[in-house]
Amino acid sequence: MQSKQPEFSARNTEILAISTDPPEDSAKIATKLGLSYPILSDPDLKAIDAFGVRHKEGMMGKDIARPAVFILNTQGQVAWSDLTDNWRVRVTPEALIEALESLK
Amino acid sequence: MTHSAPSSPRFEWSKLGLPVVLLGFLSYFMVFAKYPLTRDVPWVNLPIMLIGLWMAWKYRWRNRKARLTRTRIFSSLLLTGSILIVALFCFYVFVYSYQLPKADSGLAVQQQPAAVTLKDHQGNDVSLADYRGKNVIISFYRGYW
Repeated sequence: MQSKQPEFSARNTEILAISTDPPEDSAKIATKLGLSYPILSDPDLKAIDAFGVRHKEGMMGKDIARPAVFILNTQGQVAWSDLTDNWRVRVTPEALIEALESLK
Repeated sequence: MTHSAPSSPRFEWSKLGLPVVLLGFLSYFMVFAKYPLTRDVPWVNLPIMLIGLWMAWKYRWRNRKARLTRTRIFSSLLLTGSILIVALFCFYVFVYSYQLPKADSGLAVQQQPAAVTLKDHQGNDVSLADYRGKNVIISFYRGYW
């Protein structure tokens, strides 16, 4: 996703990542992966529930987010989403760019 | 009386079945899972592991009547270990990673998520409303542990 950042910027698009990890852990990940976009920490599952992507007891009895990607349009509405049925299989940046193209 | 040579001193490559299986197993998580092309379908790792499994089986088969009990047990252990690792990998790839709740609970197209404000990894407050006027890709992920 990071590698396609310029293509997202060119399409008036920002990226956010969200997990239940504490900010300190996310900071390490962000540094390690060299991310330019923010990783939000959602320990109380506020955003996770707002998008309906809670995975109950998904990790060692703890509630976490299922892997999911949403695109919100300029009005803040869901314009596109992908809720994979397998956490190993994730959306490709190319699919996102295609989705963004179709928003226009 | 002369003895025939006990057994060929040639190295038996099939002995390396288990290490090959392990290589196929670990390299998925350490390397190939990083790239969508080799992650979504493990077409690199599964063949490596199957070759390793075949080698372990071959080694076991060759030693099924080995003179030393030790050799017979050793070759059985190598084969058993190989089978277990391949089974574990198949379970992970074809069963375990599908353990997700139904997708229909997710917010549908045209719906608006409730307003939320969260801390980012640098401690700043971020709300979705800050992004009005821009498209936002929001990626939820499981987190690291």
